[in-house]
Amino acid sequence: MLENIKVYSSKDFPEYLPKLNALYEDLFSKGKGFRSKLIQKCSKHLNLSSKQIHLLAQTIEFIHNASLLHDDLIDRSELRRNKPAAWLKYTPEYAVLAGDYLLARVMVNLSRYGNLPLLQYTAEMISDLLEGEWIQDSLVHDLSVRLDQLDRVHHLKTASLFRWCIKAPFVMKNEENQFILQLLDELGSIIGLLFQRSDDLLDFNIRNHENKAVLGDLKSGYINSFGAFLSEDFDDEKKMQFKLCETVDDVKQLVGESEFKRSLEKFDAINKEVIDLYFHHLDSLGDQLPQESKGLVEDLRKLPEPLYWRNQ
Amino acid sequence: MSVSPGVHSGEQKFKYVTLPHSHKYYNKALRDGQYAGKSIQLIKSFCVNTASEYSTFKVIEGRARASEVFFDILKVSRLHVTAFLITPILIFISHSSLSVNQVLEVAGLLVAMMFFFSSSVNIFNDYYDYLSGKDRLSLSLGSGALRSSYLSPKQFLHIGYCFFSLGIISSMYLLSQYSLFDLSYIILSTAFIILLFLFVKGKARGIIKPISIFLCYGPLLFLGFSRLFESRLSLVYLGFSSMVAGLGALFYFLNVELSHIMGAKERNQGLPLSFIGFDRSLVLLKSNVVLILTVMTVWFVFIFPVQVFDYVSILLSSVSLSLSYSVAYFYINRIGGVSSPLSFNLTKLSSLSYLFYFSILLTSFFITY
Repeated sequence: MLENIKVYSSKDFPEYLPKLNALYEDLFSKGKGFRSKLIQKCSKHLNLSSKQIHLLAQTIEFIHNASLLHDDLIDRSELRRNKPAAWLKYTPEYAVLAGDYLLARVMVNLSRYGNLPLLQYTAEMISDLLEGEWIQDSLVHDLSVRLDQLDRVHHLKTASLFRWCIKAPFVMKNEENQFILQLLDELGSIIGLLFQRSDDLLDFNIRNHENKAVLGDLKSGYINSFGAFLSEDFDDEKKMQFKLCETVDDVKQLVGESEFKRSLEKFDAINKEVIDLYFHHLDSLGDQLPQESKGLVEDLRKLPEPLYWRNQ
Repeated sequence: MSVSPGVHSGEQKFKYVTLPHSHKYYNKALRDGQYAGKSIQLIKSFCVNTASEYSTFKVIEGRARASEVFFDILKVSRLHVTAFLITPILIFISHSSLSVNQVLEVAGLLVAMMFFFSSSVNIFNDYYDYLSGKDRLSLSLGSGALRSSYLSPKQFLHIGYCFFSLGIISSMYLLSQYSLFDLSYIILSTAFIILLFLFVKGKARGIIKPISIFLCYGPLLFLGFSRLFESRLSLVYLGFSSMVAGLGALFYFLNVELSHIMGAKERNQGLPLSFIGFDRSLVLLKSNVVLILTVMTVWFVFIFPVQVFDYVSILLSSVSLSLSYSVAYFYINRIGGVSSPLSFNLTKLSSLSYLFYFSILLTSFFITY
């Protein structure tokens, strides 16, 4: 059974900085902690100590939440997890600084721990994350963006965090087998891509079991992966109409109900192929891992169900 | 070695296969695109060029249709680059002292030679980069044609051999019919530039490449044609048209580079635009357009009228120059809307740059006609 690791403690941050801990209490109290749970899943098969697992979980949650603080301000999103976003509740300046502070804290913690490859890998991941965010921002209002171009953005942005979750425990363990490390990278990339595509489907109210707000991306002027797939063959006029849709029903009316359904089936079929490749790579990973770590393969095999198909 | 789940009794059925470098059929899988009697295509290579290299392949179902194969070959042959020859050929046809049949024969042979040689060189380059692992470090590298093709790498290589042989045959025929002695200095300088480009790496290549493109598609090409077609074109006209053609070709290739600028660092390529950066590249391309238009306008306004009294030439030149201005206007407008190295507008810009290149060559043709 996976615990909800408490990654945030007010003792780790200076009390003399006004509102900082209040902001972090809000931020960390509401998350599902999915990434830290993924860290636990991967780490338990490698016999890492609870201290090591805590460090990894805290690192990824700090980085993830730092990116959320900055993202909400960049996108001017007013809600985060159904509550006012930090930049609105406090100030934009505090939101930016709080995000920066979390990243600085990550560097402090990892450098104190002393595993240089892990520190380097984490720094590269943060760099990729920021690059992906920058490129994604440059694509806002670009109505002609293609799925393969968005995949490059997601490879840098979303997938980098998932790659880290799957690979960092092995880096911490000083794994030397380069094939295992590159396989873990590839698995993380695939699972990150699937997660992002599923999130993009949610924006069109597909498999939206949690009733999250829809069409947020489109209304912000950003064509997400399913939007790009759907609008691939649109002419310029239709793309403008697509951009102006206010509801999912507007989208279905523009595209046609049956065409929308057909596009969704095709999109799912493409991702089913990706999942098959993921399973194949897992088999390869299983061939490489020592007996005591092979349980990891079965745990990773279960990921596509909740991440892509949104089945718990 | 692992295959995907789904092995059925009595029949080995698998979708993917991952082979280690040490596997006895590894090189065959990579080269021939075959494993266990099935056609396969490379998905990903791990630990490339190390002792622990592995590659994952996907089984390809069904045979390719002839149209798909044809399209794959066109992609790798970059046919439009061959088409760069057509307008210069037309320019020199109209000023040639050779008979029409001779001109058509030479023009046809030259186009065929260019197509076969450039295609075969591209195929060899892509094939050996793929096999050596250079283009397998990341699958965003290398030839899209080889990666997405229905043809196996070996089939591609055989097509390369065929094209190269056809290039040799057409060039031998040309050599036997026409004396290329006078072109020896042009051939030698072109060969020198190409060799320099092939051996120079890094930032220096970023400088050599635009100079090579300008010289090879401009002055060297036009000088060569004027000799081959025994052209009566004056030195001034030759200079103008070769300069404009060189600048135009350079402009086109820089546009293509711009759409690949994001991956240049990953590929460790010495692309000029990757050194000056995305923002300055947009300014450079706009300036390039303005420079070309300025040269043509100066020529058209100050030099052309003095030497030409033919109203048809003046009319055709005016129309084609106006076309160049129109295309330039759309281009500059469009480039102003490009805000990302991944923007699809960059791909559309390549098409516009191609159109601009031809419009200025057309203007050159009518001005020299």
